[in-house]
Amino acid sequence: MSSQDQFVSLLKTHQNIVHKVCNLYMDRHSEREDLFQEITLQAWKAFPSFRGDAKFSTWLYRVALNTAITFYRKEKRSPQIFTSDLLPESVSEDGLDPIEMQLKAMYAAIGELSKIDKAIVMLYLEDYPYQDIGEMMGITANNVAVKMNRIKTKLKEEAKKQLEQS
Amino acid sequence: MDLDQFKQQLNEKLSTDHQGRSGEDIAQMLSKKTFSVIEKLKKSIQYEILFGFLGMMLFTILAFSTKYHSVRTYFGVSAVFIFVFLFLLIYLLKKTTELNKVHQPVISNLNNYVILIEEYMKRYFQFTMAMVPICLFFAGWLGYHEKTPVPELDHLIGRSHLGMTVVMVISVIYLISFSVGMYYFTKWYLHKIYGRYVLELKKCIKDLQEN
Repeated sequence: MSSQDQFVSLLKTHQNIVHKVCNLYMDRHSEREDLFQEITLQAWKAFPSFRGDAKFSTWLYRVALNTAITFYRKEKRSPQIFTSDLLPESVSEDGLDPIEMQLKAMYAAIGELSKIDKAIVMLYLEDYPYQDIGEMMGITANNVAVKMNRIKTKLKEEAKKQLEQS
Repeated sequence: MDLDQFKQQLNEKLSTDHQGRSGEDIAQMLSKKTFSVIEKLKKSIQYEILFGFLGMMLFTILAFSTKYHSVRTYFGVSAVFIFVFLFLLIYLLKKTTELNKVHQPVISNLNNYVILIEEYMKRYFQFTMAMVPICLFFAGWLGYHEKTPVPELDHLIGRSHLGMTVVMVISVIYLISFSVGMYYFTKWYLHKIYGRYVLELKKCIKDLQEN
């Protein structure tokens, strides 16, 4: 199996990670496509440095987050609005299910976070321990814990605001 | 309502809401173009190396083929100057290529990006500013001290009926305005291309370092 075949096969298996990062960082379909392509290219270029001593998923998370955080499009964009088009159709503005409405509000609140906070939330949702999140981000586990507490408070307030607005 | 309450739903939604890519789709993507600023910087350095090398060769040929001492000195010095700058460009290209191959922790990666882009901006600015006196003042000084008469130039000055003093004053004003203009233009241009991006990266570093 050639190196390219091996890479394609691994990425195909773990593509959920890349989609997840794209969904979290980009609000438009076309932008998500561009970011997906960019992460794929960056991962392919860095693939020779993957020695298999770490899990491919962890390595891919690192590449994907690094790429998403440093991703820059020159075109002028309107302010980022974390769209709810990823949510089920049943969750509409006039939807009555309070749980779904709260989920939508929380989703929108995550969209308001900074690039760094989004990365931390993503790894937290994935159930990575603070130690591992710290290693991926290049900060201490204590720092991750402090940040995570602050992010949770921020999300709570922002989600409440979103709910009130809707 | 807090994050943990929706942890599983959010995680599931983020990772499942997409159309799966086939192996062929992924393989095709490997040959497509990149949006990365570092890749664009790398391409830009590669072009500068190519054109710098061609310019250096041309200047060397001109320096050896002319009969005027001033022209020989001018193109000779410029060729040496470009030769030195080429080494710097090759060094920057090497650093850029290395940066692309390894993905370090986010904060180190961001720091490396900022260091590299700022280094490029600094060197580009220094090179442009150094070229101004070489292209203008040095050329003027050499021309003024040229012993071999240049009939075309004498004819031009004679035809304008302005006299040597007026021509000199106009030249000095032109040189000063060009230098000042070039200084501010280069600063503005570099900031326009990379400035906002570097600020964005620095903001991310600050976010990470905050306790």
